Amino acid sequence: MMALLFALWLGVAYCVMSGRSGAALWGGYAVLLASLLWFLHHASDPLAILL
Amino acid sequence: MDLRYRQLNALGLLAISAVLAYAFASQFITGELPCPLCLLQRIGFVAVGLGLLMNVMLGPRPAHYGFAIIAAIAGGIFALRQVSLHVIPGTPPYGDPFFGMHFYTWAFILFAVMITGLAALVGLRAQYEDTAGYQPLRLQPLLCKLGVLALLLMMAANVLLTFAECGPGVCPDNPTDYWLLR
Repeated sequence: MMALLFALWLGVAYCVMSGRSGAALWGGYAVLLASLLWFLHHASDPLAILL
Repeated sequence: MDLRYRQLNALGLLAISAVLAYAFASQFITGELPCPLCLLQRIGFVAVGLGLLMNVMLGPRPAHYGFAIIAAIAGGIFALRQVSLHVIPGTPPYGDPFFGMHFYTWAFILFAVMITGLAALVGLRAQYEDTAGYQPLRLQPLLCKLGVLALLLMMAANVLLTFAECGPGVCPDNPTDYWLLR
């Protein structure tokens, strides 16, 4: 799953390298959102310091 | 055409690639595999690098700096989460310290430095006079070529090594061996 996230970032890099500025920026935000969602999923256990 | 600001961004790409390369070197030398949060911090560095890559390849734009700053904030959140997990007394740290601090603490500091640096850079108006837009890699100055290739190499290496470590599933919290070598 994490390797897929890295691969998606590589796809964004491909858009940048081929000059597709709109796709690169929107794709970048989409993959960043996916990374944050993955983080929230992974950080869903209670944070002991806050308890 | 004034390419100085593209080259300045290329220097940033080389710096980020050096951080990722050091993380790889540490992974192989000490044999400590990166945890899921460590990998997310690497994603944060890659994402900031992509903002700089946009500046190098497509020309400096506030939107590209904005993307890099938001990515650095996300990376800082990933790092701070790991710092908060290990700051509790009696909680063992993850990995060996580097110059007195652990990688996740360094990562948080680096993300904070990047946010500050990028926020300072975005206000330099002279760079937006570069209206050439997309410039293929073969037309870029040597420094830009080096920066771009270094980041792309680090990104490809991350895809391969992360797949080797975690495979198609979820990465274990405390990885001890490579999924591909089991």
